[in-house]
Amino acid sequence: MHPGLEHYLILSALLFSFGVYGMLTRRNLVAMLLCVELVLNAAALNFVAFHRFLFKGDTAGTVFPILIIAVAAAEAAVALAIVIALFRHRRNLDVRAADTLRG
Amino acid sequence: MTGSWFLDHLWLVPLLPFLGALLIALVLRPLTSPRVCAAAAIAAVSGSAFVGYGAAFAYFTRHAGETLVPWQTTWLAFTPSFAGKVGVIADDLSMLLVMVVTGVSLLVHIYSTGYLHGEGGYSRYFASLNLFTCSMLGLVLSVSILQIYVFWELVGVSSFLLIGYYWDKPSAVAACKKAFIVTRFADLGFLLGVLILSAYAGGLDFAHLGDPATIARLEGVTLLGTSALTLSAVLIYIGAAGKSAMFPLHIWLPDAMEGPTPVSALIHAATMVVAGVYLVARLFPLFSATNEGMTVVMMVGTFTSLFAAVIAVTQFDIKRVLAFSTLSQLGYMMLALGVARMESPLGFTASLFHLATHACFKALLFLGAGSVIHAVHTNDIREMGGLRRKMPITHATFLIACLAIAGVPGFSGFFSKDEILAAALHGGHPVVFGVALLVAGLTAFYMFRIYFMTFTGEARDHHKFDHAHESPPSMAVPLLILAVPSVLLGFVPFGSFVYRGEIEHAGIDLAIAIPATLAGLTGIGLSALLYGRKSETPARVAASLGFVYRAIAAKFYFDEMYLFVTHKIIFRFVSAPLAWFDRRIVDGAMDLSAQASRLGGSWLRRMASGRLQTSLLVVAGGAGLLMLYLILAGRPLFTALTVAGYAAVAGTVGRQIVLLLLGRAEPLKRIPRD
Amino acid sequence: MTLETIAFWMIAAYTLFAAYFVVTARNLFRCAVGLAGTLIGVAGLYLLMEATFLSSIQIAVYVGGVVVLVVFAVLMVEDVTQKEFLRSPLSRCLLASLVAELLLAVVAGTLLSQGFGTNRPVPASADVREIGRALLSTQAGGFVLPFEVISLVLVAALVGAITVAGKPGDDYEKPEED
Repeated sequence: MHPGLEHYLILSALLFSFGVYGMLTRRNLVAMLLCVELVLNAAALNFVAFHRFLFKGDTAGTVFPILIIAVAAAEAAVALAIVIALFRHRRNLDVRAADTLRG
Repeated sequence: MTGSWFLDHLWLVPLLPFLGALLIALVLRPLTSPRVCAAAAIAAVSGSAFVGYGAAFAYFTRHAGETLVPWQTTWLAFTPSFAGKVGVIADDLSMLLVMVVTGVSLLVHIYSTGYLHGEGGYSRYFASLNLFTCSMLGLVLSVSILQIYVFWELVGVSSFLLIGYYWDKPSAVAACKKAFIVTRFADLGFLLGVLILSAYAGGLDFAHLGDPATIARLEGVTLLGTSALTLSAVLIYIGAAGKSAMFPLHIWLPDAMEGPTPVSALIHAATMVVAGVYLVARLFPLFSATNEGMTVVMMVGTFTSLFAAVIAVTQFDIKRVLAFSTLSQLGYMMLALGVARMESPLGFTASLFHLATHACFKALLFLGAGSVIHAVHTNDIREMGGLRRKMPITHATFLIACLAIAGVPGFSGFFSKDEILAAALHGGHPVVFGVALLVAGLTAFYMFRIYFMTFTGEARDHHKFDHAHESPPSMAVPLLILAVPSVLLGFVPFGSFVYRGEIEHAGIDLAIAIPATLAGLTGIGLSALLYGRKSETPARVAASLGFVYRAIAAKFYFDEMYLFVTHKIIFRFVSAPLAWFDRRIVDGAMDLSAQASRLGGSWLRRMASGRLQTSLLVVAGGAGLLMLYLILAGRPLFTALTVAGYAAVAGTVGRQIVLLLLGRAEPLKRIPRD
Repeated sequence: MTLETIAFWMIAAYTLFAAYFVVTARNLFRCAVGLAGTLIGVAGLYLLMEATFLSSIQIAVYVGGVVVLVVFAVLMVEDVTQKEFLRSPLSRCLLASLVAELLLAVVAGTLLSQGFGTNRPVPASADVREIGRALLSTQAGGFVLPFEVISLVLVAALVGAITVAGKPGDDYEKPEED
């Protein structure tokens, strides 16, 4: 049937849950970051969907995804820099091994 | 205010031994030598005796017939009108007991320095002995039934400490436990009696309880089918019967011979066991008003005296015989009280007269037996014989005491027993009189059996005989001192000093004196025949009586019966479930709370593992649950989820409880630091 | 069954399939490629929703920039072909899936229960010019502040990344005294 708002919303929710699952499950730090990207994309998709179906006149629906992309890029840069620094010290990107902050 | 320094300072009498005990236990024992401890103990009791005798003298010469309370204070004020008081009382009864207790205690203290010379725990012994003296004196000087109950228990504790002096002997440990438990059990009755009195009598002082108005009030209240008066009297008597080892609570006294012999002399002859008699005498007005109560007292006393005398005939341990003899004489004292009433109070005087004379000659008998035991290192009379040549002082004093207890005319026992028999007969109890007469004969018989087998004839064990020697002066002198009242006390006109109601001067009633003397002499003669020289007759008689003899020698199997009841019934059906309950449920609840905290802690600890994903998991999960909660608020699903949540918690806790009950919960171990 | 419908279902299926790759691939490189695929799929969805400018930005910046960056990092880290495949324990996977499903249910459920009730395509006005004006407009509903802030964020990210990832001792060298 014709894709309506609900379809896009469900799709974005699915992407979001995929991303959350991946964040909680992947043991490699870089993979975890990629899943974060998934989540961000799902959020952006939500914005665009609402813009398309409900708030056509409002430019926010397009500007916000742009901002999201920008932020995602910045975040990816910094995160990967950290990953590189970590890797240099430990030679190991296992998330579970990084527990020096345990209480 | 009483005009006598001694009476004014009567409170020193129990206080000095108490301070002595404290001093020895806390200061002297760790810091000085045992001899100093003994000296301190003797000093304390001497001081006590000094004040006590002075007070008694002052009382009997100047205040005879009155009841004085030199010192009193309110200890527990339940209501403004009803309070538990503590103090010291001076009347004929308490003065008499003070003289007896301090006198015998002092002699026992001196004797013990010789008897226990060089033994371990010397200082501990003297501290306990002082404590006991203090407790007993506090008991006899009590002004209220509450105070007497407190000192009653103190006496029990001191007795426990002293019987269990040889704590490395399992039989001694068992004996002191038995004594304490049996008397404690009897004290349940005592306590119930006190509670009834406190509920209906309106006051706990002896003065109040002796008041005819109080007695009338108690008579008016009906409880459990009988008057409060009778009920409380019988219950209190149960307590007295326990302490005085009346049947069926007598089982602890023979076993209590495990303690050192001076202890037996003091506690189980002269003082503690007469606490029961003292209690009944103290409450005499109350008891006298209830015929049923007095009948119980009389019957129990009579039966006990016969029962114990029969058993004493068959025993071979010298101290056991003396123990059963004490039981028998205590029976006499109770019997005498039981036949007395306020209108015909001869029994009261007779009972206390016998208390005093018995204290003297029984203590003498025990100390003499101790002397013998010290010399030949055995308690068994079958290993003794012919000791009169080796131990002349012991022999002479022991003989005097035996003559006294047998009721030979001229000795103290004759006079006191005579009064008891008179009281029984004139009180209208011929059967009791007959039994008492029979017991008198038996008493003479078994006492002289001991005498003959120990001191006369040929030595049965030559090895022991060769080692025997007379005791040192510390032991011999008290024997000599005690021999004096054993003879002369009888000539004191007791009835002029200690009485209730009207003074009764009972002269020598020949109708009673002659049968009594005959009974005594018969006993002595029979004993001489059988035991005066070596003969097979006793053994043959025993064999021919067969089963009967064995039953008597085994004390009618009462100990075995009690053991059966306690082990098979009480331990299994009462103690075991209670122990299970305590271990599993009470301790389990404590463990449960500890386990719950520990588990909760370790669960929370896992959340702070420092791992990124764990934190993320918790955040995401928590956020999701929160949102879920908010969405569903108010809907049936919400209630369902809440209930499910609580069920989960309850399930965890319940599982832990079940595990604890089944004993499979993991023990709390130290959480390792990692 | 319009073209739009078929297109939607196909792109949606493709996006989810790629996302599945991201989440489960053992090989890190495959993970990155999966991400690229997902992002392309999302760009396609943007196109379907008539956000043309956005879809081009998505491909240019996200795929062309971020994913490439990620691939660089992955190659630098040399952890691409892991001999031992590390997995989370099963309990953790189950718990994570529960949480993810919970969030899915909550989010989707909330959104769907609202009943937005519009299903009619509206004439497009996603003008690029409009977007540009909105980005620089200082009036109400303008995005100049976020725009400026974003540039700051980017600068900060730049500087931060260099500082963090730089080799130790790789500081600014003093120019030699000449």
